Amino acid sequence: MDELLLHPVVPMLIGAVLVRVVPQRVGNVVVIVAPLAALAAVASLEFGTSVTMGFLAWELEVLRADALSRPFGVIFAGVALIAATYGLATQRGPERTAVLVYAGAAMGVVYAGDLLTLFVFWEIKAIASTFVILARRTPRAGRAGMRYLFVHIAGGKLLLAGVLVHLSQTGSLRFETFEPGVAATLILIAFVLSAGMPPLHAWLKDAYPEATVAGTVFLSAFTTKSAVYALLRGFPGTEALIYLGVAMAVYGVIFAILENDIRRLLSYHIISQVGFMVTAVGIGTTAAINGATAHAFAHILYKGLLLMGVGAVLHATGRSKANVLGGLAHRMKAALTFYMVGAISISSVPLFSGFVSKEIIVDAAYQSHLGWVVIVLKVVSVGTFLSTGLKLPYATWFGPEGPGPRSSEGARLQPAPLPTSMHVAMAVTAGLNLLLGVVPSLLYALMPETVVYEPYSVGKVLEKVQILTFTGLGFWLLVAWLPSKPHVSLDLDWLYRRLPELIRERVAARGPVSLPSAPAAGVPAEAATGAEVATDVEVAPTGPSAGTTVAAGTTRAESSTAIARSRRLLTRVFQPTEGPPDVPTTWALGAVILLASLVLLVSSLLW
Amino acid sequence: MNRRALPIVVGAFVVGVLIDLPFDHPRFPGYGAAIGLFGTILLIVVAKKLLSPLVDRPEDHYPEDTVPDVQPDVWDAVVTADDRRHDPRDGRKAHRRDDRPATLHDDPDRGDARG
Repeated sequence: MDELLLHPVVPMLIGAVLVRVVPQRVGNVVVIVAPLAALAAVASLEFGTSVTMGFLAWELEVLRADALSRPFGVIFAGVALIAATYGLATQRGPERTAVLVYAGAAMGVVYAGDLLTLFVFWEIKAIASTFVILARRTPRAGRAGMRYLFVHIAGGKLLLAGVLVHLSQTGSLRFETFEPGVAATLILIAFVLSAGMPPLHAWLKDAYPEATVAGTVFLSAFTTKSAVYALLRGFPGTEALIYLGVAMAVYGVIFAILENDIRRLLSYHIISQVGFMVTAVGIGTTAAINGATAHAFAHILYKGLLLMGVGAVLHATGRSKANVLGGLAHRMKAALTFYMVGAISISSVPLFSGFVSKEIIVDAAYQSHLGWVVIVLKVVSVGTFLSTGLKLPYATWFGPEGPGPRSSEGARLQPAPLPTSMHVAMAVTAGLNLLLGVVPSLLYALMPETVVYEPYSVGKVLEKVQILTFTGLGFWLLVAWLPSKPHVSLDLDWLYRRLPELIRERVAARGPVSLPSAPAAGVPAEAATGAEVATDVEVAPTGPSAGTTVAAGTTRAESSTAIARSRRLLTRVFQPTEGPPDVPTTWALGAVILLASLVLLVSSLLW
Repeated sequence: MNRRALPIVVGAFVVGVLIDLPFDHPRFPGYGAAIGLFGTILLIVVAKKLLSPLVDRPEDHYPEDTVPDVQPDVWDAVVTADDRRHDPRDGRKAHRRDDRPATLHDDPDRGDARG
């Protein structure tokens, strides 16, 4: 039981409480020391360490250290340290509490030996990460954070339902590889939702760019990668994940090409890169497991670096949209350099971290005779370099104005000087990316299985150099097709951001006064109208006042039908309001959600 | 399409194929060059010509959540009167982090969002 004090979560949670109560200056120390202590705890854990404790009727394994949890524990503690350093100048008490709890909960997921502990940390992680988004304290971040929370609460409930079904079927709570079945399917959906797999991915690109500059660095590291860990633990070799992972990689990279907001562009690349890892989980061979782990490790480092680089631009200029940036290269040389290290790492340029991790996955697909997977993943790598290595830096630092003037005197944009802490964090991360690329054995020594892959050979390097060179030439050829213009791309978050509003407008527009001339034939006609409201969303909404002049008598005649009553209820639920919905509506919606949860719970217990 | 670049790209492609010949190349010589060049073209065409017409919307498609050009709440800049003369778009009041809006509902940048 004393070993519980060595749990890497403990220093993070103590730090999280401390930063909330101590003065800012002391908090600066705590936020650095807490991840350091967690890193020390991770390093001191020996393989096979296991701490169990009784809870109700079950024996829970709250700490399980083995070869798979170690690389994730190391990188989670490491990136928490780096991102906390990056945020030294910008983060305040409440935000620091949120990020430390978030990072700690992600480590709790990694070291959870049973499904109940996993679920508890999973939910803490979801809630803490919501607070990381809310810490931006703008209305936009508030709304994005709430949408994020709803999606993740739904995912968490699927996980809980899956765990309960699993418990009732097997009588065991151990977190091991799952047998196919209802429980495994529910848990798998919860995991892939958290990994950001289309069509359950929109929360990621919706919420991550709305956090603070340092908050986004934290967000990019933990949620998706702890989902990758959970998939590696529970579903290695699930064939469906190969197809889903490849689709994910393609989806992310294509939407990234269209994106204008540079932090959102990088969020799409998280989806794409996690697609590589999910594909590797699906392949499931020893080499693929190593590849997924190594790529998760390297991905956290270079994606953190990329987001720190564009975060530095946002911090210095207040701008994150490509169409209002450009002409900064001469005045933000350091940020540009560090960003480019991240960009060539994610593009798997030889001597940088992506080359020694991503190529393991491609090679594992090749060894498993999945030729089409190899080709698709290589094309996705092309797209990664195209948008993170060419388009984004071109638009952000150069643009039509070129590298810009050497001093801010008379320049269109006035970048503020960056704090030293940001430069230090970026420099350290850039150094780590280079180090892992030059000495891959450092990375391979951490992997769960012995790595037999040899990244550097003349053929591999030559092929990669050719791919990247011709990506650059292709970009040069078609650069006119890639202008930075202000726009948004529709994605599936439209379903919960715009669709309810459209329905509300339609219902409000027709309101209680529709079908005035034919009350007798009202029922079938109204049923048809209802179906139309639900499906036909392209019709331009008319103002709610358009129909209100129709005689009130018709309304009274109609009010006797059940459909009219339900229509009034709908009108009230979807009524356009200033601020939150009224109290009865909130209660009604809450009751529906609670009822649905109860049905889910009861049905899962009966299984 | 950049017509000036076309002959250079074609020439480079031939060189790419020739370089591969003496080495241990996968499938066919110029494999990497082909993946790079045709992959880029394929992705840009799919994204810009097929997908973009379907999903492209004006920036204020989600009116409340439109990302403004300038996001002062994360901008560590003190804009002086002198700067303001250079660019009217930057004509915002000096904004330090300490001036952050106290609640979710009175962000100066989105003041019109709810009203």
